[in-house]
Amino acid sequence: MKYVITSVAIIGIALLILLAKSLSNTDLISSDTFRFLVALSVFFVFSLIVLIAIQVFRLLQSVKKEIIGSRLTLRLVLSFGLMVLIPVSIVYLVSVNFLTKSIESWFDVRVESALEGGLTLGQKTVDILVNDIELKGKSIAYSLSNTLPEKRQSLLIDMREKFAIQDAILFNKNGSINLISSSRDDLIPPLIDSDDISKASEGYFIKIEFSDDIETGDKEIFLKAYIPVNSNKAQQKNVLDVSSQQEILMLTQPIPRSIANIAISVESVYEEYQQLTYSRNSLKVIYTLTLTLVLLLAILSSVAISFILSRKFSRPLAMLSDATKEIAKGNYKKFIPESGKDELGVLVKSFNSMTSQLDIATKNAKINRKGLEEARSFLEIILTNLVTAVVVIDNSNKIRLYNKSASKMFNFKLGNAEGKLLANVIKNKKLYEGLLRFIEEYLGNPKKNKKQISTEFKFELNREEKIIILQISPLAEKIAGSYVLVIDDITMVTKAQRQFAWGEVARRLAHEIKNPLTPIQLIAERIQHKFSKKLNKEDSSILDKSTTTIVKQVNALKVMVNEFSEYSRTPKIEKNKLDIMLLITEVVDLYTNKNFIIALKNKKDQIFIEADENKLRQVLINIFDNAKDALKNIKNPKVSVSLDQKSDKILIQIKDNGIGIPQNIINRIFEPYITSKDNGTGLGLAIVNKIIEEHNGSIKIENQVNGGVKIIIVLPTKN
Amino acid sequence: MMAYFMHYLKSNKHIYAALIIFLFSGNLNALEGEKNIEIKDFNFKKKENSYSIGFVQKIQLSKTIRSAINKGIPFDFKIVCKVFIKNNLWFDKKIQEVELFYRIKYKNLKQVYEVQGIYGEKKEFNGFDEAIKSLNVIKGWNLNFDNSSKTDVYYIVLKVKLDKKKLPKPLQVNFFDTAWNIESIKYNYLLESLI
Repeated sequence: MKYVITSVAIIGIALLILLAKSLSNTDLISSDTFRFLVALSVFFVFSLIVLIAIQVFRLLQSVKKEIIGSRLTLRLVLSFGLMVLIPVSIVYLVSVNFLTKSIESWFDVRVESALEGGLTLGQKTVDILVNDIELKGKSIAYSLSNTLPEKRQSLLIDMREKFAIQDAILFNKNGSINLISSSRDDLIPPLIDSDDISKASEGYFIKIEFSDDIETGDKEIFLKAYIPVNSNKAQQKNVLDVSSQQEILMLTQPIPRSIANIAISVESVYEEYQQLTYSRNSLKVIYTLTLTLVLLLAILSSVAISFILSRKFSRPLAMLSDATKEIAKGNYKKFIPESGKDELGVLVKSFNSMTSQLDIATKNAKINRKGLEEARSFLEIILTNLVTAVVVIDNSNKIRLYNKSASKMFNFKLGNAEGKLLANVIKNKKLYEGLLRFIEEYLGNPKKNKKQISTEFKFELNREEKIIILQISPLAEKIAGSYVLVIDDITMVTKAQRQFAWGEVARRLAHEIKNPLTPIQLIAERIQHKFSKKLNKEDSSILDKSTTTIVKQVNALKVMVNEFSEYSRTPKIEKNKLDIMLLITEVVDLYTNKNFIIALKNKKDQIFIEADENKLRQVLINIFDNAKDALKNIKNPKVSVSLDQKSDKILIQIKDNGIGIPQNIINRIFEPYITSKDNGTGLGLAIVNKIIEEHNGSIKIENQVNGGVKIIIVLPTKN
Repeated sequence: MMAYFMHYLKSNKHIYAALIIFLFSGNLNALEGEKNIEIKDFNFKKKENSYSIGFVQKIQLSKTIRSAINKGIPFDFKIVCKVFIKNNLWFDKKIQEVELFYRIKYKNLKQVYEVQGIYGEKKEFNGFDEAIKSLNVIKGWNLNFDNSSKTDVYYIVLKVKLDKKKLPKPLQVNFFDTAWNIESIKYNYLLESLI
């Protein structure tokens, strides 16, 4: 756009200069060239109009589409246009008016009248002089025609001098000079035109001739009178042909130089004035046309340039506005090209600096946020995977944060407890009554709630003893008013500790008791062998009885010590691929006889698990031994075994219709020395429990409603 | 810049084409006005090595022009004679162009009409009609050109017009004022038909 406008403006100015030149009366530019220049100027005017129209249309389209900066550009264009249009229009109107009046002022009526008067005066003067020379000529011609030939020369001289005529020459019809008289000494006899001779023959005539003075260069006017001179009777005596005797008198008389100069000058000025008069309308038209073209080119060029300037001014602002929107959207990479050192340039520079700083700050914030999110995520993962229940509460006992283990422990839904009272969220309030009361007391005691406090709670859940440890501590000062509750279920730990303690006891017992048992047994047998024959029957019987009792008790102690030894052994299982179905079938077959029937339900071909065959065999044997003992005095004793597989687990259920386990010991039945049998060691089920745990399984025992016991063993199929 | 200019021209080519056609298709010739010189009785005689042209022209001048002449504004007329060889495939070839001038001027001081003929001879007349009448017959205008080719077709174009270059400049350039456009149409004469 700017190149086109610049080109048009330059060409337009060149055209206008040529137009102005063409108006001066030079041969530089012909009328055809002028016409071409006007046409070209009109073409450029139209080009500019078209250009501007296109620009206006585009600008209005931009305004309609609400493109940033378009309204400002429109406003600037209008302002620039008005700034140019108003003064240029005024100048145009004044110029046209001034021009018209100036041209009109050249043509004053008085001037024209004066010029016409001057010309008429000149004409009249010439007329008078013509009449004068005519009369003089006629007079001379008459005198010559009536004078004898020998006296004609002197007459001509006399009359010429008398009438103050410059030259008087008498030509014959052939153009030869018959008589001559001149006031000039240097007169070169002139020739006469045959046309003039023939014309003069018909009657006199006067010619006005203009010539230039060779010396001064001034214009001169000569009056030349051609008068026929007829021969009179005296002259015709010896002449036969009268017509052949006719002569032509030529008188030459200059008009006085002062009068001639003025007359010529008046004529010249008059003619120039007339030329100007006829050029008046054309001058007005041409000057007005040129001015109009100048105005149009000036206004249109200015308007066109105003588009460029407006865009130049509004572009940085539009870019700023656009960039601001981009930044509002979060794009801090927006960079505006810097140009110029003016206020706009400084503004753009400052904006770019601000943007880059924002970009850096945003990047840092992003990095920090990412770090925080990672830390939070890390914390969340830790909290989620933490077996320990963690709950953050405020000083009004409302939950602020909790983890998965907490929701599991207190039995509430995840993501549903924030902002609620802890007491309202926990479903089994009675169970955790002591814990809740403790927390309330802690929160309500300003002295207490500044410190970290731990306490242990015991309660029974599903007929199992549960032990939990609560650790409550205030959070840092920055999040004052918040407390973190760390609750650990230590039931299993306590159980494991107890089992470990029992194992230690068993190991020591086995170690301390097992060693002297064999010598005791051997000594008892030796005493019996050595002294039973030496004693009487009665004493011998007592001895036998006593030693037998000792041996029996020693054996019993050995069995007990072996069991202790088994219980306290270091876990060492060898897992292999085991068909558990086959193992159960073998053990069931081992126990089945007339009086004791074990029913195997859900019998399947093969179920493989990874397990220690001997240990699992011992488990089954211990359980079936217990069942056999429990069903000793029961009519129609029944034991059933079923095996189910569920994904990666197997479920073994063993039921009997025996007397069941006393309710007071059923919760601790897997602990050593807990037994309902009179002669039981209380280690059988403890060993079973230990083997199952060593296989990462679980065992559960419960009394059935209709009597008897149900044992459920769950084992993983894979290690 | 050129690329931008060309792109711009291309995008607005219809408008520019219309403007160019308007400006250069001779629409401005509409301002030229009536033809007020009529040529008739064109005669063409072969001399030994040249041709002699003669014709009669009828000059009709408006009141404005007569008035301008009577005020002393000189009027120079130009006779243009061109000889062409016809070309059916391209522009006709111009082989000769001759211009002659004659003039009429009222001498205010002498109060006579001075007529300068095509050969520069001057005559004075007391009346306007008499002076114009003296210009009606043009004869003895010699043209030299070679028309020896028997295959070519020659023709003569004749036009008489007021030589506006001799008028005051404002009158020359004001193409809106058609009163000063005094000219004949272009008369074409086939040489073959003339000889």
